[in-house]
Amino acid sequence: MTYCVETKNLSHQFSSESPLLKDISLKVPQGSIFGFLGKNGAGKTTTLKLILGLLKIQKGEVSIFGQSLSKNRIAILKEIGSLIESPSFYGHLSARDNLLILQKIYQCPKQRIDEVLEIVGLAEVGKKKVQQFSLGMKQRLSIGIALLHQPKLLMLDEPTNGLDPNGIIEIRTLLKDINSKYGTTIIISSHLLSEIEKMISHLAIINDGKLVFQGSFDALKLKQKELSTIKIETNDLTEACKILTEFGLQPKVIKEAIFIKSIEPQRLSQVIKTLFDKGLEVYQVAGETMDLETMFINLTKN
Amino acid sequence: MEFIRSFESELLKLKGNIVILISILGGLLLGVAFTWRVLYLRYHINLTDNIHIWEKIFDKHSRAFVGFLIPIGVILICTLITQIEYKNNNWKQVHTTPQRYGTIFMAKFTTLFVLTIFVFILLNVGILVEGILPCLIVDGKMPVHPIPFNFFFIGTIKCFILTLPIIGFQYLLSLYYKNFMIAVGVGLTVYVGSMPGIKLGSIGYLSPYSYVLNYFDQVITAQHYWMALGYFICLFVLSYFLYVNKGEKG
Repeated sequence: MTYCVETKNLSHQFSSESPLLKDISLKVPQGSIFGFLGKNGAGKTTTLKLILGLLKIQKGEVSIFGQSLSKNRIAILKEIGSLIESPSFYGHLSARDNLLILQKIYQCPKQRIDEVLEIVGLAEVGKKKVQQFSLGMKQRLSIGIALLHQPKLLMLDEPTNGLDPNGIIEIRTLLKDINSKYGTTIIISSHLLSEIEKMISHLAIINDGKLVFQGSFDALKLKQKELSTIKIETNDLTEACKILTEFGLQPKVIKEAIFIKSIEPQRLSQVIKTLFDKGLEVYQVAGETMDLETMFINLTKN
Repeated sequence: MEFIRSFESELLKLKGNIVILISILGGLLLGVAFTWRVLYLRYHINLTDNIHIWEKIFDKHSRAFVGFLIPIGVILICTLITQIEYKNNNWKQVHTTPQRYGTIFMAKFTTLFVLTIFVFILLNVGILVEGILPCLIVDGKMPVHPIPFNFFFIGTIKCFILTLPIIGFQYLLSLYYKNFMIAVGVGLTVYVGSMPGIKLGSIGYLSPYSYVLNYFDQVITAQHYWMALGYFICLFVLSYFLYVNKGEKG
């Protein structure tokens, strides 16, 4: 698999504080929408800043498009659009002038300014001073700035902050469109899985500066399945546990019920039949699936 | 080309910014004040036999300008230009554009350099207005004494050279410190502290403000211009070094 962004053992520490990032090795597949998840203060923004060269790398390596950022900074940055932390803009200028400043630097066609204003829904207010914009409009402008030069890689740090539910849906649709039409790799950070789960193909979860999960969204769902349990209620917990152990399962008793890891239906059927055959009464057999949000919270719990 | 594009973008950022207004007001303040005074007194240069009257006007203007207005003006211009980036956390945006750090540094420096030159041009405009306008209003004709453009040009260049250490010092402070008050506060403190400091002999020249204050006191020699130039180059190189090696760029 080709990786658009790769970090190797990236670590970072601010002055005398304890290390904020510990050996982060990210692998962002080319053409993916990569969710970078973690609670506030987990180290998401610091990681993105290190990738973009906004922070000096203390330990580890960063490669983008297979090249080292420190050796090919200009060529790499030409292909990246970013929004890090809060929106960046010149408040005393209009949205159009803000885009014009960057159009000069990126040397992209001037017509892209109108296109981008249209895409982010600011065409009507293009001449209004940005300091008069609402937070949502500022956020849209920042996304527009990142999109201006049609980059191959988009790095968006919590881009839906300040947007209303409609705005979030619009941005989600926009990013999915860009990804499918142009094959743009998108790294999108968030502290809410629910906010981005509908668009991501891959994800990494960071907690207290350490990666706790990395892989495709399907792999996360597989993990979710692995973590699913089956709850069994019987009249004799001790005997039931004995039988379940004989089946190679690891039963846990919690509040008058037995929990085992999810197993195939055929095997479950055998287990229940055996319980009946041994004279046990089975009151309830229920599957307990952990939703992704709970799983995310569990992964990001110390 | 990269530098020109970067410089163009820097100029665009000045659109509607208060730094332009400050530059215009600062550059024209003395000209307007002296013109008003001359018109009030109904006295003009045609009434004097002194053929060096233009040189006298230039001397009067430039001393007050360089000694008092320029230090305050440069403190504000340098701080406001870098604050354009700090104010909305824009450094991170600037540093993720495909520009060399040297280009960014030079484009911003050139912008403030050009603005300071613009202020000096306005100083000369003010001098010409003070000389010409009262003659036209009172006499209805141009001044009889020819305007010594060459003298004005060389005099302005000399004043500008003495201003360079202040530009270097304030640019360094403004780039390094996010807080507006630090750059302005330190600048003003060093400026005020330099007033008695220039009496201390060679130690006094450690202050980047001492050169303009010596000009005001008319104790400037040819050596001072070279010292000012050297001082500026040192500060400029130091600013660049600190800027490029700053651990966090946004």
